[in-house]
Amino acid sequence: MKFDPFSNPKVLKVGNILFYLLLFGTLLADPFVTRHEGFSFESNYGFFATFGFVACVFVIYGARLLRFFTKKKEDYYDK
Amino acid sequence: MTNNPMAPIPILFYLGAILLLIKSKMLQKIILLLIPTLSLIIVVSIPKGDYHALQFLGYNLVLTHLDSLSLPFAIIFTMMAILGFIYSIHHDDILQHASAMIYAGSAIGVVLAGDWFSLYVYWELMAISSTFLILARKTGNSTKAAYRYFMVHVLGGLLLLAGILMEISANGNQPLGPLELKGTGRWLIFWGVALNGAIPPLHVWLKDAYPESTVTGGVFLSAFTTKSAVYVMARMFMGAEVLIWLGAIMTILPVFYAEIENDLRRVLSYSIVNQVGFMMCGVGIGTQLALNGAVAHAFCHIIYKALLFMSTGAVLHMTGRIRCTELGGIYKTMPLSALFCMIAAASISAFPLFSGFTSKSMIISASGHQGLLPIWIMLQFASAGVIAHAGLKVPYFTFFGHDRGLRTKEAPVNMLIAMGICAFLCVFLGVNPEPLYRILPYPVDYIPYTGIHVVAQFQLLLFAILAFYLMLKGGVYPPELKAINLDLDWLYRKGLGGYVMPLLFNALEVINGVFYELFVRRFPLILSWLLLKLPGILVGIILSPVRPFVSGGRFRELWARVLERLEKEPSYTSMTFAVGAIALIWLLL
Repeated sequence: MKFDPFSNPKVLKVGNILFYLLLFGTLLADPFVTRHEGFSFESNYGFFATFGFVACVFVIYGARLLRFFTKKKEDYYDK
Repeated sequence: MTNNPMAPIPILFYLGAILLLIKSKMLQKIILLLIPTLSLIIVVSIPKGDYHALQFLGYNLVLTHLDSLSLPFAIIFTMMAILGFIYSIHHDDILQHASAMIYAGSAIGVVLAGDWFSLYVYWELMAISSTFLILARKTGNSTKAAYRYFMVHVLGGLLLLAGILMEISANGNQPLGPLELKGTGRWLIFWGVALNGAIPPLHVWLKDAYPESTVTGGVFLSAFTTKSAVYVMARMFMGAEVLIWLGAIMTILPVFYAEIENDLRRVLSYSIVNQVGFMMCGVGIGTQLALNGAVAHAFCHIIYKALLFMSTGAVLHMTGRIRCTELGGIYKTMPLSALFCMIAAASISAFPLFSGFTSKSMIISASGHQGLLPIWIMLQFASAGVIAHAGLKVPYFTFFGHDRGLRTKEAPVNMLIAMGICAFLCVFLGVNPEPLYRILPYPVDYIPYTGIHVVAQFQLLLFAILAFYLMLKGGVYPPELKAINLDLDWLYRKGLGGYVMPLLFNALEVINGVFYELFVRRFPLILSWLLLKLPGILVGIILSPVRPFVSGGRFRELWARVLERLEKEPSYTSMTFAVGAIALIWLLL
């Protein structure tokens, strides 16, 4: 049999569920960890989750914007 | 001063490079593995101190200076040399092996150098030898890129040399140590080193050159040049505030480029700039925790970045393709390479239990301890950016993504072994960072695995992945495109070539023309005319007192006869010249 687990819908489904469980788990654990250092806003509930999400969205939109300005054909430097 | 019977490690590597000339393929391969292994044993077994101190033209050279800062770098550089040669042992290109040997040896030389002179010599040897790892790809693009790479590094070397000369003439030949960043000389040293460390705006050579290197060359290149610059920065300019900001900018700038780049090894090159930014920032913060973090991060980074270059290189080796637009779905036939790539991706993203987590978190914590809020935010933002390009994009578009129907075999065994060892080290250092913490410059009082660290890092990364996933599904994510993106290298590839160079050329042409007219065409004429006429003029001057006593016509006749004699008889000319010259010298004296 060929090695092709990621074409199997069952595997993908289980993977998806695991991923969402992990996400949920980190949010659940948030209030229970002790904070002994760092900036005060770090202790807001879900700060790092929000930060990560927003940062990634920002990076991707920023990259799209950058591409708008910098995109050139592959042979640009050969001409 | 201790004396060590062993030769300096760089010399061992150079000897190894020469020994590669022997015919037997078997012996060549043994040498490739033996020399770095021997060096690693030497590095970990000799006590700290100065070795191989000698006098050269009245100048004190210290070829081996092993202290708590150079030790971790020397260990990881020799380890990397071993791993790099395991990865590349399948090919028989002696030129490439020899240049990799000299390159690795010189990089180790830089971190072990105890004086300015040997530092500079190793620095230049590193630039020269690494150029061959790009040239050896033997494509049109690689030849041009190698030329640009070399020219840029010649410039960096000149900056460094000028700085070193000014430093020595101002303060004497001091042992290498912390310097206050003050005065032209030290700023020249700073920027000379910054160029090798890919600090913006001097970072574009990296993304220009590394993707054009050979498959195995890329692995070596990713390890040595930038990290030796981190070491030199840590030795000289620890705590320089400018490094904090440059480092933080460095972590953010390449993130956007990496996201839209098509060539996967170029994505990784941008990622090097991003990662070295964390280290430079740590060096700039300069507290014990920050510097430990910078060194630990350099150590871990070399391994996982090499692993990323190895796994994408394995794909390039097997398929001949490296662009996102041409790859995908290859995990089906290269599952091990895919697994190793994902381990490296998890490490560079600093997932808990992987090596990046135990090192990068030290730098970010240090910025928090110092209350540097903007820096802390920039570094956290860059961490989320890392997962988007190096953590997800590289493995996804290489091994998964759109299946292009490529069905090659798995990479050669030696490549898999090298990747396996790197992957093991990534996990090992992530789970058990103690051995690494023990060799850091300062005693480590830092626990990476606290509840808040782990939960915060998981939240940051997993929600960044969620954003990536949603945007990929929603079609917002910039799709792979057959295109390149302009960066600052445009300045010297197109800007200078297209506009500034012709301008400069024309200006030079005009100056050249004037000089040609004056010195090549006119000057000899003037000179020969002068040579011919000067004796006559001199005679005229000498005879001038007689002039009033002789009638005009008669004088002119006499004058003409003298001139005639002089022109007919060159010996007179030379004699008058000799007399004139002697008179002139006598006058001047």
